[in-house]
Amino acid sequence: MTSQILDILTSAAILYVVAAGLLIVFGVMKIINFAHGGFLTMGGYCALATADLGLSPLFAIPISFLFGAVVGMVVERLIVRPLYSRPLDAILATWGLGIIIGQLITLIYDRGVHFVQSPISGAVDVMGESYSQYRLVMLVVAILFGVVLAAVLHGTRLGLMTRAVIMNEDLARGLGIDSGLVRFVTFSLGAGLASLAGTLITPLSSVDPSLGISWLVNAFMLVLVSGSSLVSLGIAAVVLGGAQVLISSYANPVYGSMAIVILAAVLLRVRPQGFAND
Amino acid sequence: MTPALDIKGLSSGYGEALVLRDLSLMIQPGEIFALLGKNGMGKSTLLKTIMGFLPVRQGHIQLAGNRTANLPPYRMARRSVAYIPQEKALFQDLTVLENLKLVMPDTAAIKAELERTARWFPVLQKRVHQRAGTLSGGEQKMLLMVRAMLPKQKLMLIDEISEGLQPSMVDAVSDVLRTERASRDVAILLVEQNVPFVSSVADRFSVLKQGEIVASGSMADADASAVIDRQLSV
Repeated sequence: MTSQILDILTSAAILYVVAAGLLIVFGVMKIINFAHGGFLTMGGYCALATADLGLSPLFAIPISFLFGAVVGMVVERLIVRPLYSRPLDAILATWGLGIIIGQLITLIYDRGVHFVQSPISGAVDVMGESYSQYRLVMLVVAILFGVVLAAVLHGTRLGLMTRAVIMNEDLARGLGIDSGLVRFVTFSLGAGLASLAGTLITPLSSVDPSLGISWLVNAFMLVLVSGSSLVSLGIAAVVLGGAQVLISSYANPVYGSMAIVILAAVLLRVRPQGFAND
Repeated sequence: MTPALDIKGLSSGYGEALVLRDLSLMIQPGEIFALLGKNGMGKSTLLKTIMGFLPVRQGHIQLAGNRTANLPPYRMARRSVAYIPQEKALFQDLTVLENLKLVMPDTAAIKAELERTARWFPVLQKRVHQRAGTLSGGEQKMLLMVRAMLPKQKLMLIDEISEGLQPSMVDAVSDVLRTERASRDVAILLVEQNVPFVSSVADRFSVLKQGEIVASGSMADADASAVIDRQLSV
């Protein structure tokens, strides 16, 4: 029972970390960034490159965030910004970009599967059950993600401007807020977070050019049912991630892997705003 | 004296449809100018065009002698223009303080402004941590006025502020506008349908009909109200 509760919490934590970057980009820019999967993959390969250089796996964390953020800056400036007024085209462009990132990685590395050593290995005893230390660390990381993002959104001027742009972009512009700059920062931050998430999940998953694709679908569904709220994302991750764990345990892992997509679709049918308040 | 706002031959609209045609007007610093007209005549379109939300098709707009046509709205706000739109003018889910912080990061300056304006809008000081969406309609208008005055802009564009306000609040808004004009030479462009309010506060007026100015004059003219009433009733 303890192990199942921990599985639910840590699976939710991993989903939260993976989807957070996608959510903030969607909240501000009102586009689903389908390059998110590519950025996740990039983060996985940052971890691999760091290991190849003989550096501690911990170095991969800042490296992948910075690399993702810089790539995000370039992508926003060259690809997404010219398509602000054509959101559907912007979504298609990010989809294409995700494919290009996967192909570039294949050119640089190969199609093979790689494994990266975990910075934290082994198990700890939790209420009599032996449990993966790394999964527990991911729980702490997810809470840190939530706290830091909430602190930025609610405790800084950038956060206030970002919330204003999310609520009413025209009004924000009329008050002197450069919403283009807010979008630029948000997209770069979202790309950095995605890349960081890619690095963080590598000890739990193999690294290959399609690493991000499988995570992207679940992250996309979570964002659809969360609107632009980090709290809603947390609830969605626990509910849908929990359902995935339970269905995998009691029924079949294949059904479990489909749980998030199906439950999210049903939820949106019944309650179009999903877990969001409005 | 350089006009605070100088518009010449302005044409503007939405998509292919022209709403404003060859419109010209000039407002001096310290002047309150009222633009009157029924719904759909282009009053709000003019304010949106000045602010850069809509493109200038023809003509030009100058702020304090500098051309501004087609600058984005955030640049207009940074060039000392305060804009109060008629609808969706507040961030309903932000607190009163957060709404004000968007135009003035300094909390001490906000509190000083709330103190200064307390004689007209005393309730706002008690509601700084309340969400704007939970304020009454009148209180929301108070917040809009304080937000527009806070950054000490040189030009204020105000879209139908008196709509739905009880008479005592309309009087308070009139008093605030006159005080602002006298104390720091701000130019104010009021878009209105409320003739008594405009008569009590404006220096000059124009009446807009189907995107064109059809009458103009000074509010001090003996027949100003009659001219306005005649134009609005047609």
